[in-house]
Amino acid sequence: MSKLGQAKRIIFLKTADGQLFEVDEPVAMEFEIVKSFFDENEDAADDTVVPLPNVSAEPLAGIIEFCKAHVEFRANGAAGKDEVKKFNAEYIKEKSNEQLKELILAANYLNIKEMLDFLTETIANRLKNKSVEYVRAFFGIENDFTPQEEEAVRKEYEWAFEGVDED
Amino acid sequence: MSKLRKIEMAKLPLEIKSNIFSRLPVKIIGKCRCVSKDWLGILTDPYFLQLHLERAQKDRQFLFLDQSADHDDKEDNRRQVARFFTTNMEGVMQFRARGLVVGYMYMIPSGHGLVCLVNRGIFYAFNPSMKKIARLPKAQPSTCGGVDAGFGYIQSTKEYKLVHLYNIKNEEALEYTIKCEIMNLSDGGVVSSNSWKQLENECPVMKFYWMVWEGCNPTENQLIVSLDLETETFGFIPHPHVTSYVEGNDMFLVELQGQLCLVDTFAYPPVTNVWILKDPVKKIWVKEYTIDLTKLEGFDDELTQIFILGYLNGELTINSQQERLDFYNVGSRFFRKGPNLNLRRDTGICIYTETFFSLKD
Repeated sequence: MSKLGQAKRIIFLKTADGQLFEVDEPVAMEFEIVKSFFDENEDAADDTVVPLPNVSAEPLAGIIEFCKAHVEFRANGAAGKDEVKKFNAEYIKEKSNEQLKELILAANYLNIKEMLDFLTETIANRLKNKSVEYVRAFFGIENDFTPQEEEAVRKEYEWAFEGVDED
Repeated sequence: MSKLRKIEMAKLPLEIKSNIFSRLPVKIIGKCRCVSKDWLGILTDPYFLQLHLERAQKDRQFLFLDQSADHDDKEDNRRQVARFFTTNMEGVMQFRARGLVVGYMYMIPSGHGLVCLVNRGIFYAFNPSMKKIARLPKAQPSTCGGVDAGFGYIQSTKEYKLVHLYNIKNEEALEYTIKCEIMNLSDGGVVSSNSWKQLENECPVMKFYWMVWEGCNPTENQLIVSLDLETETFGFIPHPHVTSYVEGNDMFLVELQGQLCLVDTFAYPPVTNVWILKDPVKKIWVKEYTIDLTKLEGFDDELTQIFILGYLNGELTINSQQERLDFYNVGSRFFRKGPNLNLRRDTGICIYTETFFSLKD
């Protein structure tokens, strides 16, 4: 049925850990980095494999799942509706903090605006009712203050350390 | 996840980290500033502070105050324990604090980060996100019962203005002149060196209310007195054409999304009308919402008073003097119950937004 050149195009992506993904073009084009690869290499053959040296297979599979669903939502005119919210909530529910970190790093590298916004908000929601130790562990922040410096800065931010902390 | 590979969040661009942090409470950010030099730099950067301010203004926090003193009893000068606590929109407790005070403590919200507290004629500026309270210089004495003051934030100058109305007794008995004094609060300013500025104009009414009426029944003379915080000039706005009034359930004014609203409750059938001043220049009021109170769980037409505290994401935040807050969806016209916060009938409630606005004694 499809005419020449209108066949569904598949984009090949290769992850850092050597896995090859076959992704429908509209989904792959959600990734700004893939889009610009083809914009810059107009003559690239259809079976060109796009290397993604900063992304491993697990987060990429998760990202493809998210983008595929959102491309379909847009095509069906469902963007912004309840079913999108429901999908997003389900999608994030089973993800661990470590998986979220992998996803946001990958989404940042691939430059997927919609997903980045979603992950930023999700991570903030997960952190906002937690203790500073939790936030610190999440970001892996190392203390580089000398004890004197820490004492001085803590004095200045005394107000932050009073009252109840509930995790 | 099976791999034990360390995930390097350091690779995440500053912009995204700032974005995540801009959604976190001031208190956590304060603590994170004490964690590393890097973070101290990022979290005090003007770019970050601006981002946080913009985000915080789209969110809401609640400040609650439980006290045993009675605001109607001016002679009640007993020592009492005042208990403050704050929660976010989900009802998650942010902090609790208690203090001994003598007499009743009033709360005046600014619709922004700071809340003004008033106890026995003494004004305090309070930043609930930083738990900082600062006593303000002495205001003019006033013989009126409650507290006639307003507190507001001016976006253009990033300052708060506290407006205090007070009375001066005239020669003739029972006649008073109403005067007005104003104090500006700026970020990081030393509060004790602030001073009240006396406004030369007298408040142009003889009644001591921001909302002015004669008796209980609405009359043609009903007016709302306004004070433009930027130009510091008084004005009048007529009431909308409200026709009913419930004993013990005063009409009140509230700001919703930057618009002045008048909330009016009817007894039969029990509904609350929300009038919005759509056009402050032409002084046009529109009855925007009519809330059917029978749909509110636990509603009792003898006991329940409805107070509208604010508006966020299509919902009015309602204090119906129950143990929880309620949220009224203006689209679906249904109520959503908030989590049980063990509120008392007389718990004072006020909305604020998170802010790093600093108050120095």
